[in-house]
Amino acid sequence: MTTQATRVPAQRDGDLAAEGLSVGYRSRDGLTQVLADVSVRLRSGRILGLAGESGSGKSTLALSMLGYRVSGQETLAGRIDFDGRDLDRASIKDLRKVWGARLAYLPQDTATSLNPALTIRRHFIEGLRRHQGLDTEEAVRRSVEWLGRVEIPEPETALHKYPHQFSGGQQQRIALALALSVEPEVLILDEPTTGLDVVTQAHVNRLIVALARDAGIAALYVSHNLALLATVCDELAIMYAGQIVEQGVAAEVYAAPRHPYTAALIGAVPTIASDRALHGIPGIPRPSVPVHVCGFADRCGFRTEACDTDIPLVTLAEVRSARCVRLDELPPFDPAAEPAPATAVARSSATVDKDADTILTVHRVGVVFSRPGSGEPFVAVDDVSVRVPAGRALGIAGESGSGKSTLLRSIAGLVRPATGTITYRGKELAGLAGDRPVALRRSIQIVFQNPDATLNPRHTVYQSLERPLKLFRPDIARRDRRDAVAAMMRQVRLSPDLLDRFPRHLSGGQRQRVAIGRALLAEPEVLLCDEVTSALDVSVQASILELLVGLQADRELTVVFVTHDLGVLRAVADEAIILQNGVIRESGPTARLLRTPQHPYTMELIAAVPSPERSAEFLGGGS
Amino acid sequence: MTADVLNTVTAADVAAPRQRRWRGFLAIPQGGFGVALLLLLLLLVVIGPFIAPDSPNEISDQPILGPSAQHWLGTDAYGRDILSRVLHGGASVILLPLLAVSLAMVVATLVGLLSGYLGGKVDSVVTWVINIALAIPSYLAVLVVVAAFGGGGAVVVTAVAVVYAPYITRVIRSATQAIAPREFVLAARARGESLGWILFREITPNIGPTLLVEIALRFTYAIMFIASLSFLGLGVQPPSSNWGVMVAQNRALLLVSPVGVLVPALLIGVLAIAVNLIADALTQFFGDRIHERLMV
Amino acid sequence: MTQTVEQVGRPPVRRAPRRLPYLVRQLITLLVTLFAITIVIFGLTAIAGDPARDILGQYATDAQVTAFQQIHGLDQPIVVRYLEWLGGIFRGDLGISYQSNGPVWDVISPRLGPSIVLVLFSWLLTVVISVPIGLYSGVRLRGHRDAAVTFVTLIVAAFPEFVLGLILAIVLGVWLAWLPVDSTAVSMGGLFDSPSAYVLPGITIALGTIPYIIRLMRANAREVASETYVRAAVLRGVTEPSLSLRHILPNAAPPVVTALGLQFAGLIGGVVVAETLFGFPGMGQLLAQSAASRDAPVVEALALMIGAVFVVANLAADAIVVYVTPKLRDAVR
Ligand SMILES: Nc1ncnc2c1ncn2[C@@H]1O[C@H](COP(=O)(O)OP(=O)(O)OP(=O)(O)O)[C@@H](O)[C@H]1O
Ligand code: SF4
Ligand SMILES: [Mg+2]
Repeated sequence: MTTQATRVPAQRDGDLAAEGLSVGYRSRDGLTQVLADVSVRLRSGRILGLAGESGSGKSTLALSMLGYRVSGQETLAGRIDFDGRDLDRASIKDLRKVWGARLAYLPQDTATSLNPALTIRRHFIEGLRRHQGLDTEEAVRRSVEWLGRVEIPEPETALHKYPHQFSGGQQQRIALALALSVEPEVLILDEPTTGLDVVTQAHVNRLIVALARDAGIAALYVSHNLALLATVCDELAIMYAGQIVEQGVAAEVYAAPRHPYTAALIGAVPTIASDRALHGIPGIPRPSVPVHVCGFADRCGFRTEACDTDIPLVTLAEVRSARCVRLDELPPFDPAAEPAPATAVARSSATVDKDADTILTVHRVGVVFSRPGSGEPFVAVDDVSVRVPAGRALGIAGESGSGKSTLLRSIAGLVRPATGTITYRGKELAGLAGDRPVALRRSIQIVFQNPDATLNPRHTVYQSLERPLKLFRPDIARRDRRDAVAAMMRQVRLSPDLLDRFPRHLSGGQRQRVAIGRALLAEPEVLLCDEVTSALDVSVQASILELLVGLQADRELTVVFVTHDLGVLRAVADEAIILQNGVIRESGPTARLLRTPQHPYTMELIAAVPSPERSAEFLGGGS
Repeated sequence: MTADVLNTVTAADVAAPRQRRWRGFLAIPQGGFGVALLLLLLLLVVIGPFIAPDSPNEISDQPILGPSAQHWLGTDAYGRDILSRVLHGGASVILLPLLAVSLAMVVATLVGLLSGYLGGKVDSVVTWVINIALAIPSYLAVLVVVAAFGGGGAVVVTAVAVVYAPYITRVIRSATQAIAPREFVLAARARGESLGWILFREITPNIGPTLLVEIALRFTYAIMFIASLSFLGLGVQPPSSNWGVMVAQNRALLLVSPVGVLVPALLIGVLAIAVNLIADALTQFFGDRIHERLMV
Repeated sequence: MTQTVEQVGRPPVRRAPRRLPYLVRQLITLLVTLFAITIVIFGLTAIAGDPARDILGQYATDAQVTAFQQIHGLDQPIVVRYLEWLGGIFRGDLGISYQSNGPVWDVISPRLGPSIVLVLFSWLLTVVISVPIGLYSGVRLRGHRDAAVTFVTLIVAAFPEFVLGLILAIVLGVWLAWLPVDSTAVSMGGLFDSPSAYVLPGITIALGTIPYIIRLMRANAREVASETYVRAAVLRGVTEPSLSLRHILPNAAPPVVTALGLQFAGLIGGVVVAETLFGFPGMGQLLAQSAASRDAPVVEALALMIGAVFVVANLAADAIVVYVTPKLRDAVR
C-alpha cells in the first residue's frame, strides 16, 4: 500500500519529509503495524500540526522523522527525506551530527525533559560547544540570551540552578530554549504543553509559535488537542490508526472537515463559545493499522462495502487531501447536525430555577494537608461555602492544585475538613464516610478520575457492581441482584456480557461507565464526579458526557462535576464555580460566567482556551 | 535511615495482577529451569532416606575413605557413609527456612497491611521499630541471640523469623501504601466498607504478587542464612546429617577427599539457586519493582 | 445558589515544627539508634537468664557458680547491670570474657586490624567490580548478553559464602595451589606480612555482595537510560561516554551508594563465614566462636562495635546521597 497521491512541492534545503512511511513494533507476539503510508513534509517557517487520539501513532511518527528508533521498532516501507538523504537508513554517526544541530526535539513529558542531576548551564553548553563550536564563555552568553527570550527571569542566575528549582512551565520553556539555541532547521514538538495548566500552556504555546516563526524553522507540532493545533498551526494533519486521514490548511480543515473522522472529532470537542451539542463517536480508537479496510470503518456511520479495502489518500486541493472512498457522497460538514444515533449533550443556559431546593450545603469548609516530607501544612481548601441546588448540575473548575478534588472528597467523606460543616438536607454530615449513617452514605456517591484505578483490578465487573447492592439495597433480594446489575449495565450502555470480565479487559471509557453504574446502583441523590473524563480521548469523553447528562435529566440527579476543562464545564454544568488556590473566585450560571466573566482570574482562564476562530488573538494576547 | 527519601514506591511498582497464564511463567527461562531444579531436589530429599544404602549415623567402614564403588562419596572422619548422610540430610535444609519464613510472613503481613493502610500514629511506631531493627545487621542479631540462648534448630528458626520480619513488613507496608490511595480503595471507603474488607478484599489481592515474590526471595535468603549458621555450628547440631553441618565437619577432609565436602555444599547452592531463579521469574512475570525500589 | 462568603476565617494552620539542620538531625538519629542497639543487645542477653550453669557445666559447685556470678556482676539487678555495662563502654571497659576470664578488650584487640583490612579489601573489590559491570550492562547490553550477566549474578547470589569459599578453596587452593587455603598466618608477624592469606577470604566475602550490587546498578542504569531526558540528550547529539557517565550515572547512583553503605558493615555475615572457613584470625571468627561458646560479654562488645560501624556507614551513605542529588539537597535544607 503505497498510494502516494499528494503532490509533493519542490523540496528545499531544511525540509524534512516522511515519504510513504510505514512502521511497526516487533514484540514476542509478532509485528504490530502502527504507521501506514504516512507522508508529511515540514517546510521552513511553517508549523504542521499532527492531531490524533492516544495510540494513533503520533509519537512514533515524531521520533521516526528524526531517524530515531526505539527498540523493537521496524521501518516497513518509505523513507525520511532530509536534504536528499534518507535519515531512516543513516548511520548513527551521521545522525549524531544532525541531532541537536539541525534537528531539534522537545519531548512529551514536561517533568522529565531535563536531566535532574545537571545544571541548566551544563545542558546548554554541551550542545553549543559540540554543534556550534563555541567556547564556554560564548556558549554561556548564548544560553543567557536564549533564556531571556523564553522569558526566564534572571537568566544568569537561572543557569546555575537545577531543573527542579523551576516550575513545570519554566522547565518546558528552558527545554524550548535549549532546543532552539543551536539554531536548528527543524523542530519536532511532541505534546510540549500537555500536563501544564491552561494558562501556562497558552504562554508556552505563544512562545513556541513566535520563536519558531521568527527563526524560520520547519516545525512538527504533535498534540491530541485538535482545537489547540487548529489555533497555533499553519497546516493540520489528522491521524487515525496510524494513517493520515486528512491534511490541509489548519483553518480550512477545522472549519470544513471532509473526512468523517475529522468531522466527528470536531463534533466531539467541547467548546466554551457556543451551546453546540457534543457528540461522542461510538467505539474506541484503535491502536494499530488494520489490514485491507478503512481504519475508521468500525466507528464510521457512512461505511459501505466499498470501504473494505486499502483506502488511498485523495488529493483535493494543493495542500488538501483526505483518505476516504466516499468523499464526494458525504454531506457537507455541519457542526450542529445530529449524528445518526442521536443522543447528544446540549445544555441550555435558559432555565435557571432560582428557588430550587438546596440539597447540599458546604459551609465555610477548610481543608489542610501537610506536605509530604517536610510536614509543612498547606491549605488546600480555604473557607469555601457552596449551596448545591437539588436536581441540577454544579460544575467546579480550576487549575491543578486549586483544591477542586479535595473539596469534592470532603463532601464524599474521604477527607476530613479542618473547619466548617457540610449538611445534607439539613443534617450535618460526619467528617468521614465511615461515621455517616448508611442512608446518607448511600445518597452521596462518587466517581473518580482515573479509569485505571477506579475499579479493583482483582474484582470482576460483576463483583464491583454487586457491592453497593449488598451494602445499600436490602430491598433487592440476593437472587435478583444479577438482573439489577445487568439492567444497570444497559443503562450505562454496556453489554451485560462484560460482567464476568476483569477491568483489564475493558477500555478506559468502558471502565468509567462501570464506575458510573456502580455509583448509580446505590440509587443516590447526589453524584459527585471528579474529572471523570479527563483521562479519556475526546471522542470517548463526549460519549461519557452524553451519558451523564442524559442520566442526570432522567433521574433528576444532583451532579457535582469537577473539571479543569472549561469546555467540559460548559457541556455539563448549569451552574459553575471557579476555584483558585482553594478559594472561590467566581460563581454563577455557566453560560453567563463564561460569556461575561467578572473576576480577572476567570478572564485569564478563558483567554487561555485555544480557539481556532480567534487564532490571532490567542497568539498575540498576553505576551 | 537508609535514605528513606529514595524508597518511594508508587502504584506502578507494585506487581500487577496476573495478566498471563501460569504457563507464561514456566516459559520464562528462569521460571521453568528453577521449578524443574526445585522439583528434582525435592524428589531427592523425599525419597533419599529410602534409597540410602546406610543409615546416616551408622559407622559403616574405615574413616576417611575416598570415593569407591562401595562408598560413592567416601566416608567421613567417623567412618560414616557420606552418600547416605547426604540422602538423609536434606529435609532440615528445606524445612527450617520454610518454617522461619512462614512465621515471619504471617506477622509481617498483618503489621505491614495495618500500618500501611492506617498510617498516622500506628505507622509512625511501626516505622520507628523497623528502622531500628534494620539498623542491626541480620547476622549480628542472630549471633547475639545464639550467644544468649544457645544454638539449635528452634532458636535459629525463631531468631531468623524475628530478624526477617521487619524487612518483610517494610515491603508489605510500602506496597499497601502504594495501593491504599488508589481510587477503588477510596470508593470502598466512601461506601463505608469495614477495615477487614478493605484490607483483605480490596488491598490484599492486589499485593498478592508482591507477597509471592517476597516469599520466594526470603526463602532463598533463609536457606542460605540457616545453612551458613549450621555450617558455623550454631544451627542444627551434630550428629545431624544436615548438609551445612556436613560441610563444617568434613571441611577438615578438604585436602584428602574434596568430594565429601563439595557435594553437600553444592546441593545447598543448587537449592538456593532453584528458589532464587523462581523468585526472579516471579519478579519478571508480575512486573514487580518494589524489591528493586526498596533495595532488598 | 452558590455564593462566596468573604473570607472571615481560614482553617487554623498549625505551624510546622522548626526543622533542625540536616546534619544535626542525622546525628540525633545516630545516637538514638546506637542507644536502641545497646538496649537490644543487652536486653537479649538479659532475658536469656543466668548463663552461669550453662557455662560452668552441671558439675560446677554452688560456690563456683556464685563466684562466677560475682565476677561478672550477674547477681545485680538488670538495670544496674545495663548501666554498668554502658558506663564501662565509655570508660573503655568492655567487661570480662566468660571463657578467657580476661578483659574482653584483650580478646578482641589483636583481631581488629586484620578484620578491618579484610573488610576494606573486599568492599573495594565489590565497588571496583560491580559498579562498572552494572552500569555497562544496564546501559549498553541487550538481549542474550544482558541475560547472561543477569543469569550469572543470579547463580552466584544464591551460593552461600561458605559454599563459594569452598569452591574457591578447592579450585585456587587445592587444584591450582595458587593460594593458601588456611589464613592462620595472618596472626603471625605484621598486618601485611602475609598478603596472600587475605585473598581467598576477601574474594569470598566480595562475591557475596557483588551480584547484588551489579543487579542494583544495572536495574537503576536501565531505568534511567529509558527516561525521557536521556532520550532527549541522545537527540541533542550527546555521545558516549558522556551519556553514561554524566547523564545516566549521577541519576542511577544514589540507590547504589546507599546499598554500598549498607554493605560496608553488612559484609559482617560474609566475614564471619569466610574467617571461620579459612581460619582467618579476625573478629568474625571470634564472633562465631564466642556465640557458640556463649561468651556473652565478647559477643556484646563485638556486636556493639559492628553495629556502630553499620549505623555510621549508613548515615554517611545517606549524607553522600543527599549531597549528590540536587533535589534532595534542597529538600533537606
Ligand atoms: N516501544 C513500543 N513497542 C511496542 N509498541 C509500541 C511502542 N511504542 C508505542 N507502541 C504502540 O504503537 C502505537 C502508537 O503509539 P504512539 O506512542 O506513537 O501513539 P501516540 O499517538 O503518540 O499516543 P499518545 O497520545 O498516547 O502519546 C500504540 O498502539 C502503542 O501502544
Ligand atoms: S472510507 Fe468508508 S468507513 Fe472509512 S471513513 Fe470513508 S466512509 Fe467511513
Ligand atoms: Mg505520544
